[in-house]
Amino acid sequence: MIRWADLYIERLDENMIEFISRNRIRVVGLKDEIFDTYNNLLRERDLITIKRLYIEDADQISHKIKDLIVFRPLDKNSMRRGGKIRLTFTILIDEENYEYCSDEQIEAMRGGSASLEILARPLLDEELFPRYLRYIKYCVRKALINGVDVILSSGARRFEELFSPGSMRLLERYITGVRGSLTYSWYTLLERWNKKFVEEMIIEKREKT
Amino acid sequence: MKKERKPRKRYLVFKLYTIGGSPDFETFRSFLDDYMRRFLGLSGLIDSRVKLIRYDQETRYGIIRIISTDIDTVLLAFTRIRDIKDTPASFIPLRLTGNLSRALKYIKRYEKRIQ
Repeated sequence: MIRWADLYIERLDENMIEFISRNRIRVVGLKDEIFDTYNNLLRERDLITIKRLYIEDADQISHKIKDLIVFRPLDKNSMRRGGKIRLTFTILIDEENYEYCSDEQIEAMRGGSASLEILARPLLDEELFPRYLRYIKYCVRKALINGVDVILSSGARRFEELFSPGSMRLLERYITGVRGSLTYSWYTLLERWNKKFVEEMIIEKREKT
Repeated sequence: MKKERKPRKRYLVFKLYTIGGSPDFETFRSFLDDYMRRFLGLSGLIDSRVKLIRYDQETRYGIIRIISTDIDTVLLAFTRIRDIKDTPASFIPLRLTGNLSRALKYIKRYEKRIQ
């Protein structure tokens, strides 16, 4: 079972690869642009990689796509439309669109099957930190009450933006007020997206141990 | 009326992951004081009573004492540590214990793994 996964990394460098393989990170989601470059390198280090297809237009989300989609809406209406789609994918919340995550958005998402993917990267920005944290705290708590899945990702582009597994758990505890409410969400999401993939991953892990 | 919880000491076992050299105990302690003052403010610093108990420059494992009532805010502050005196660093929280002896026990276990 995936206890923690730092899925969705935007860019990778040598320091990040070193950090990922030395820490208890098992699954890494890579943006489609960098997937081919780093996939083999990460697999050699016993890491499981997932290709994340980055989409900014809700009309492009289709059942034909077999990769796990990251939908990054740039306006309110697009975010609402994305929330209503019945397909397993994630709606990315970052420094550009965190203000659109409101009560109405959560209400719209109740009918769909998308999960909210909150990026931890903007929390490192001194100016953005208080406002972003206040918004996502409200948004996450509202989503959990309404049964919408929420997951946390680093969205890192350099070493300094990576969050260790422990840091992610502390962040989760601060945002939700309880422990373990988001930690297993990644597992649920992956299982919903591709059950066979998760089963294979568990078998692979058992064989190694 | 809500009953106020009694503040209790908690010990956080952590590992510091740095690129380049590792800071010594004094450097890390002074950095932590400055950083916590900046994050919590002066009044916040009085209540939190954060103290670096142990830090090994070689293994990079350490223990920080915190108070249970301010645990969430203080831990949030730790997650944002990204550089120590211009050296890129990542703070990795490992265990939170109720007494120092248990924290030391965990550190010994982690250090054994390196050897």
